[in-house]
Amino acid sequence: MKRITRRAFLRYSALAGLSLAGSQFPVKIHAAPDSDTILVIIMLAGGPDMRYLIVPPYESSSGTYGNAFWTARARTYGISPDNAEALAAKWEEYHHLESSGTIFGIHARCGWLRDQFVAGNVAIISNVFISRNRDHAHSRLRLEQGDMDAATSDQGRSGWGGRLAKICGKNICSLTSSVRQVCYGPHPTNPADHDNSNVIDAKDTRNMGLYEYDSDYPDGNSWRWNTRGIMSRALTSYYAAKARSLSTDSPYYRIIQHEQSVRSFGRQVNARLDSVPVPEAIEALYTSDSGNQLDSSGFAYQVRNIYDVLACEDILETNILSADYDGWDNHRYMQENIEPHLEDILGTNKGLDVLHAQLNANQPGKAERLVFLLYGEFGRQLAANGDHGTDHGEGNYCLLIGSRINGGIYGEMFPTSEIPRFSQPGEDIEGKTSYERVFARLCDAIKSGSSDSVIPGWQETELEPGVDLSGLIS
Amino acid sequence: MKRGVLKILFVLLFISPVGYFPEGGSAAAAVYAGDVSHDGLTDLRDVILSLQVLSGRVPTSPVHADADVDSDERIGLAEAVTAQRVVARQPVGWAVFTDWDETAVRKVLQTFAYGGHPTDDQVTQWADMNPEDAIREMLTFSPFNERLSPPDIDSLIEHVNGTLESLADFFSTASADNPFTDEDDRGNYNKRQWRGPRYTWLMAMRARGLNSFYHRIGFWETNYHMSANHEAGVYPFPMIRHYDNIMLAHAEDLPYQQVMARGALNAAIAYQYGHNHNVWIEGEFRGNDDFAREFHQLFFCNLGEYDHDYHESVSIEHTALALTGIRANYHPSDEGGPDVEACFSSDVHHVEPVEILHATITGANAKEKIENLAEVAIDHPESQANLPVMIVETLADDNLTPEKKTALRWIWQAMPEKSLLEFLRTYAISTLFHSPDRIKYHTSFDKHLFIHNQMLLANQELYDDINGIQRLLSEDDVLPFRPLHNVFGHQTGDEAYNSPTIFKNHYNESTDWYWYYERLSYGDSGYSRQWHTVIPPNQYGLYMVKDVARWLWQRFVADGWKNYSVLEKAHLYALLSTGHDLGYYLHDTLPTAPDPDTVYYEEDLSDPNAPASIMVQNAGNSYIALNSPDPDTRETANKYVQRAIAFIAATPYTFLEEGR
Repeated sequence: MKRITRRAFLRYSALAGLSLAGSQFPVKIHAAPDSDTILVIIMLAGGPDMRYLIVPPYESSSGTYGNAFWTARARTYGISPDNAEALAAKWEEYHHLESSGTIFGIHARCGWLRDQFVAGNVAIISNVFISRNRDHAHSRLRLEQGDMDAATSDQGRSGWGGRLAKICGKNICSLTSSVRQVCYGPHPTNPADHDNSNVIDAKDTRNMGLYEYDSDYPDGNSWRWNTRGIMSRALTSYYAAKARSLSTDSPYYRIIQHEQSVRSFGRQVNARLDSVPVPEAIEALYTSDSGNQLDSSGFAYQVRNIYDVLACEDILETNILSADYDGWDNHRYMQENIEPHLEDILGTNKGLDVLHAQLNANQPGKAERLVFLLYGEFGRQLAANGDHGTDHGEGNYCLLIGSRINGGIYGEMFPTSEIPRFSQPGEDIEGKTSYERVFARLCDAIKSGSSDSVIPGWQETELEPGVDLSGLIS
Repeated sequence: MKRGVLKILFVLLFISPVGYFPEGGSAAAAVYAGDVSHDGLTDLRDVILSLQVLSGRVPTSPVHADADVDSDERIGLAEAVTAQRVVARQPVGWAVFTDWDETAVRKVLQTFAYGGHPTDDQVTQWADMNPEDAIREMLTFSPFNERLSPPDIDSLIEHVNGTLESLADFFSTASADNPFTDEDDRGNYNKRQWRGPRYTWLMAMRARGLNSFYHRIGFWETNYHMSANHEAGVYPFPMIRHYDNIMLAHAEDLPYQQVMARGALNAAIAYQYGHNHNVWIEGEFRGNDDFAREFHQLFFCNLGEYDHDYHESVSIEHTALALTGIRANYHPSDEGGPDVEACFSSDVHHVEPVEILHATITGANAKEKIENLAEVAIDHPESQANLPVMIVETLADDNLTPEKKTALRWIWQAMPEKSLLEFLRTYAISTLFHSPDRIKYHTSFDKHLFIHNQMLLANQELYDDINGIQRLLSEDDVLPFRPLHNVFGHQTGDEAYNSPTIFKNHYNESTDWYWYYERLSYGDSGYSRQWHTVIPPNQYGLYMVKDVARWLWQRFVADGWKNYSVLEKAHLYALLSTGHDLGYYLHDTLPTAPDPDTVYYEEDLSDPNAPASIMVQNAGNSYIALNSPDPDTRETANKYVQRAIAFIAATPYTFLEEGR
């Protein structure tokens, strides 16, 4: 109780200070940030079962972790728990890796992740959690706000990504179909509210702008009569005037902000991207019959958006990007649902691999500045349910990927205390390290000293004994 | 009877078990305000009796009219509010909205019926009525509401019973009465095709002669509250039954917990969550607990915060047992297609009673257990606290304060039998809904369907597909029955409000896609939209531009002209009088305005003697030939109206609404 009170105080004080430092419009750079790292936050919405991606070696002896794990989870692969041979074979399908004495497997369809881990570019943080409950909406709210104490009623508050961008004097780019809460920036005066003036909606980078009538239209004087010209001139003029007369406190002012940001950035981005073709390899990710179309076209377009945003980095003045991939709530038929998702993101010649390759080929120096954070709102239960899936749980793994990451395993990847619990219904991965700890380290790596403002009170949250996250990013 | 008594006792305990004797008064000596039971006390019994009268139910004990508090010679909402205040010994934060007028009526219709299709005369009639009476005509769960949506010449009421299924059948079959003659058009309404539910609901939501409120709530129930999703594999016909079963339960006036139980037991929900595979065999549970959790959380708004560990390990796990033995299976179309309704087997059901929410739940099959569980779940304090808030938060108010939430809980808890309809009626005429700080951010559905309905003058426009709405929804990535957040519901108002992309789409629809608004006819039916059929002319039978502009603003914004400034007037006058934008109009008429791209600010237009203001006034005082005998002139005038609508639709005032 004491902790919460103190945290609440810290949080309010820090957020209030951050809010007052805010501006009303998409920001211009006021001071150089400490790092030129670009953080790409990838939300795996639904509660991803990362224990399908990362597994321990199968062991035939009962009472061992490897035996308890594979037996309990056998049905997620459609294998009978007593079929030791099939379970052993399934383990063999995984890429086998070792780090600091821990042997583990990465799913066979995630070749790029394996390569990145071997290169020392992947941090696997074990037993992370944001919420003790198993409620999607509430856990997601806490995760995106970076606040383990956020209540269900705290819907309007800012997101940790938006706060980080703001304190860096930068914009945050939203690449998703709707702007996620993680992007919401701090409100200038009210910590319970948010302000999206430093959020750029880059959902469709190839179609960002407002329609603007071309007065050089070849049809002579058609600008006088053309309905597009009439409506475009009317609304352009109206919004310019309205911006002056409408109070910035008005709830309608957000729409004025949208008009200004879309018109301003859209015009510049469209002009820039006219000379930046989408690489064929990226286009193939969302093109049917290309031979390399991703299972999720939505994610494929986000890969393209990342590429485009980086091509317009000087225009958009951004260092935080928000992406997502939906569909991880796999209560049933885990295998057929989760494997295409994992491969889309982490497979060889798939999403992030293609992006990296094309950046290296066409935008030198950009790929090495990227840090990907892959996380979900909660983990799953230890054992498979009776429907070839897993039900909601608490702790999970999260991944940080990038050449600036000090790769390795953080925390106990396979806690032996789980062995007797595998056979108990409802048991899950115990959350030992709060996500706030991870976010705070990311904040400090991107903007030195920013963690206390962006994630106030983070030092009072849980950290697994023996784990040191201070060197997560160099 | 026992259950009713228990429920009242629960309410008494939960709220405040106090009666109130006015100071110096005697319990039996006088009739106090709100003491409708005449027992000398103004207490919760009076709240309940008043609400029973209000809801048209037979009161459980005699009611005395001399407890009337608002001199309307009846017992109803005002008496219930008074009694609540007395019981609480404090203001309960709401009352009947006393400034009930045309704008109040339009705001209710905008929020709860996407505007509906009432005539202006009908809106005036409702505005002139006592709000308690008006709301009972405006919001009904009958599949037809002739005042809200008068029948068109196609007399849909003669061909359908108002359910989605009957609409799908009517519009997809080869009947001579079917206005769709093209086979492809008919195929759109096939209840077994994936596009069938979407097309059918969009027709139901917009067609005249049905009930816009009924279908707006049907959409909310199935796309937000009890959400099911084609993307998750919920088949079309079961989706339609999910919708119809829920709405027919509302139409039957079933208590809300029974409506939710019916929703929970629909085949669509079983496909959605996969508990149609949950079985109890040889003492072992096989299945998942997905819906076991969401039944409590999403349907009844019980997050388990009362006792997290108990909720997880007992209530959810045992609800999973209660859901065993539901059968709904896929079959190929040549074998009849997927099961449309679930059936409930005892063979693989956990027949023994289970403990859930600290109550013993019995039942020989899943249906019986879930129906019994619903009766317990609705009374749980967490549901009582959260469910009414969720309803209002998702339907009508994105700015709920703690005080407003408390008041909503009062309204909910005071209902002896939970009724969504009575709750919404009470809320819709309350100071809570008409509060100045109420803000509702419009989803893409809210905005597009309201504007579309206000634009729609005849069902032939739907049959000709003059202003196809599906492209607009697709552009925003929102389609009915494919909720963006799966079981957590479709696009929220907050999401749309915070999305520059949604703004961009809507702006571009008024400019680049101007034809969406400007098209008055399509195809060879001979129909063309004629605004003179609904816009009132002046006393000389003419249409003055400033009158038309003012009428359009109220129809499409419904804010009582609160945000209708000189700037909006100037742009609308220019568009309506000449078809041109303000910049070009002034450029064309004023020698001092050389550039049509000039921006005119409010201050430029506020001085009545300034040249620009004079020209704007001239435009406002001109006439638009909506009833010209010449078809071409009339068509041009109607196109100018459409441009004005396109302009209004792109202003900030259509992206959200406020109370008063």
